[in-house]
Amino acid sequence: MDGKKRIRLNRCCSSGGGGDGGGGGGSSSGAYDTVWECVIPYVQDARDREAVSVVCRRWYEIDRITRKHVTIALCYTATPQRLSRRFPQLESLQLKGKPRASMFNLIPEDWGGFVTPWVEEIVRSFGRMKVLHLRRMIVKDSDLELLATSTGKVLEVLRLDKCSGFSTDGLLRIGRLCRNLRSLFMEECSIIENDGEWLHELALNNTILENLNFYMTDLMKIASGDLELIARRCPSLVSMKISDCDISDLVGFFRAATSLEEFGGGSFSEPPGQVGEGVFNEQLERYAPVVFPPKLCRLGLTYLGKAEMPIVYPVASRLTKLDLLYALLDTEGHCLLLQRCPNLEILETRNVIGDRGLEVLAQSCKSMKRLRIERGADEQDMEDEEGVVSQRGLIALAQGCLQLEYLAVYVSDITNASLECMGAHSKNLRDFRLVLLDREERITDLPLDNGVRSLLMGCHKLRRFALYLRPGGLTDVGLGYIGKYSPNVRWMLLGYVGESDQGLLEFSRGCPSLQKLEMRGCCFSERALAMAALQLTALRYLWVQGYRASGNGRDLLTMVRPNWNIELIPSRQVYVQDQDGEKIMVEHPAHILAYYSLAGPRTDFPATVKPLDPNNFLDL
Amino acid sequence: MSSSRNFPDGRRREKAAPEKTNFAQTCNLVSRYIKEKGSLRDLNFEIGGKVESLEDLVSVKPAASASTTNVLPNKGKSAQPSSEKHTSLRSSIIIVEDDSNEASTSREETRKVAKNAQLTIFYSGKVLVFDDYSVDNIRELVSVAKKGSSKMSYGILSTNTLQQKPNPGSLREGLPPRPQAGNSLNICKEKINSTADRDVASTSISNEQLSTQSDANGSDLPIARRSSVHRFMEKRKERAVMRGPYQNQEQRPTSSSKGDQQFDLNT
Repeated sequence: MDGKKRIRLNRCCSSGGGGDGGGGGGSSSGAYDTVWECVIPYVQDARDREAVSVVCRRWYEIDRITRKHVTIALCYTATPQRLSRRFPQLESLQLKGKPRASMFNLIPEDWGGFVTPWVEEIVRSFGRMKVLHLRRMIVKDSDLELLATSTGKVLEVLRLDKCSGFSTDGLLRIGRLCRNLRSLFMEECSIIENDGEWLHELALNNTILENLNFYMTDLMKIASGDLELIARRCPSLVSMKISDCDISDLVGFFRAATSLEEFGGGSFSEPPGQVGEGVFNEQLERYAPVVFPPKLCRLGLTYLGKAEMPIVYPVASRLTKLDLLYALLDTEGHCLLLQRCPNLEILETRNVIGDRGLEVLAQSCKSMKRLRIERGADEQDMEDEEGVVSQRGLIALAQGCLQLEYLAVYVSDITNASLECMGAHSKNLRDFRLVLLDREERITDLPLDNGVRSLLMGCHKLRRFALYLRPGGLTDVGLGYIGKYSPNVRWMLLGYVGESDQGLLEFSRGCPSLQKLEMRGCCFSERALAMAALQLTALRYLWVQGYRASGNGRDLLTMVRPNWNIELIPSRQVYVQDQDGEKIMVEHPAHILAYYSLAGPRTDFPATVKPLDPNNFLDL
Repeated sequence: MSSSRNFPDGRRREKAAPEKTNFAQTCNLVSRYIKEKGSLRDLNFEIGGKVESLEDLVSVKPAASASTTNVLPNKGKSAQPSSEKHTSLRSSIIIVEDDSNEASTSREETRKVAKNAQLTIFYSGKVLVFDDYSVDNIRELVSVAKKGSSKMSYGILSTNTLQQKPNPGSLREGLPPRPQAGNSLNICKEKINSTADRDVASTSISNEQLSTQSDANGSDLPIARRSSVHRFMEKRKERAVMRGPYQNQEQRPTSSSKGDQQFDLNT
């Protein structure tokens, strides 16, 4: 809460004190309650709201009826009925389903996270639900239909974020009936595509759309005419992110979308024939008529190659966000493009950017705030040849981009000095995620105990922290440092750190703010994990894959307590495609998921998930 | 989310770390004041009067507890809360047993036995609040505290709080349960030094069940790739296969500087 609001609240407090400020006394309310009712809605931060709600019964009640937004970080932690009882006036709801690991294909598809009971409750109890944000949930066509028919006139924002289970038929209903929709978001959803009618329907029925996003979906039946129609009919359209659709077909769309600030997706056709004289120019000629809208400042072009890169140059200097995750640029391409983007604040790409690209970035893009470098191809072919990020790139970045708030990076080599450098320079860092790839056998400088300590001590603003190394990457002492020096970190992912249970226990004596902990590939025993879960004072969510199991999960009983759900995903065998496209079987080790819940054990367990029931161990 | 709040000595630090807001701390203080006095009305101060902030109203009470590095001056005399309820066990521990805790609980709660009440512990500048603490547990806690710090261990407290404490979450409809067990661990933590910790670890649990050295288990877990990037990689491969030999392979010798000229838009 900012200072201004606080002062306002404090004044009210002083004047309200003359009346019944409390309610604990149970006397008349009247005018002073009205004051609180007017003031408390200005408190919007969820934590501040929580603080308000526990002051006294009256404040609890005021918070209850004035709360407009709630985020439920795991949909099994409360029931829909409880939500509507507690906050009957909600206008905005965010729900998350599957564990984060599902974004890495580690969680069974049928794990759960069904939105149906929530949609039913929304329809029943929340007549003013304007914003619905679902993340990693299973959404069915029937859910979308119910939403469209019941809340269609009210719904303004529908975000289906990495969801699955629905088809274009469900979207058709949304497009037809939700005429007040300002934002429809489906990025990275798995959608069954029956036809492209939904988009046409949306174009015909909506004139106020601001955001449309079906980026990274497999929707192929997209008519560029419908996109153009949307751009014409919706003057407020600021963001459009689409699936693969040739950019040369979007000339009309770009011309019509005069307010557009963000574009993502699209596709470029193959450069014709074998590479030879004139191929680049021929390819460019094909895309030369593309003129980006005047306000465009956030861009991500799928399959963008070096040949087509010049079409970006005219807008490069005003770009604040660039998404090259799905581009076909090599390291040199990154260098050429980045040096033309002095105002860049957000960059997403793969490690093909290389140390050289990071050095250019550090030199050219001084406003950099968020940088995500995903892991590209392992085999060093195609344009990924030079794509190696190491301590060299990190040091350049730390020294050059002082405003950096978010860094997620897969590195191939690392040193303590580079982490110390980040700690010394990156004072605005709130979120740091580092994965050390396993390709190189020799790493310059391990373990990283001291570097990690320096980083944590230097970056006071850290709220999220991920460190994924390899055996020997961090000793028990280093793990203890993480516990000791991350007082404000709320989310943490640890992979292959520590040497023994003692390290974990030392770690768990610290981390006073840690709410969500994910661990993978560590050597800890079930007993130590359970003890750590008890010792971490703020912990509400624990996910672990790769640990020393006790066979039937008996050692996890140590952390059994009221409202603490423990679920196991036993080890299973999964067929995946190997590099040559052949099916091979891989063993997925067991997972533990434990979380606080007011809803009791869930009732929709698939066969792949087993609840840990203490009663089964009573005879032991 | 934690019910332990760094106050008052934490106030300065809170400014450096804005995450746990002063606002939340202030709310906590108001709450405690209401519980003690019945309502804010008892303050009996004038509108637009001397009191300018909640901190002024309620800063007195923490002043009675330990280590006060940053207590604001007490302007409103009438705001002086009585300190009779404070039972000083040791110089730095104050336990308040507070019966008037209905205020913060919801209507839908199932009423607990009257013996249970809220427990507030002031220790080393921290205020720890536990809902619904039974008298039996209090006796035990007090007796443990009397025995002195060196004998406290995780074992004692964690067992008590874990197994005997009534369900903490049921009281707070819609709110995440407070990690009470953890907090009680927190108390001990500040009391025992690291060597004591180790003793505890070795006595309260059998050491054999903890691994003492690293284990190869799980170390063959491959580093996972984001599924969206993974899908892109596959699509890219398909494109490359369709096109035949990948163009970059042939293009590489011509290198960058030349390439730059080639796609100069001005030509």
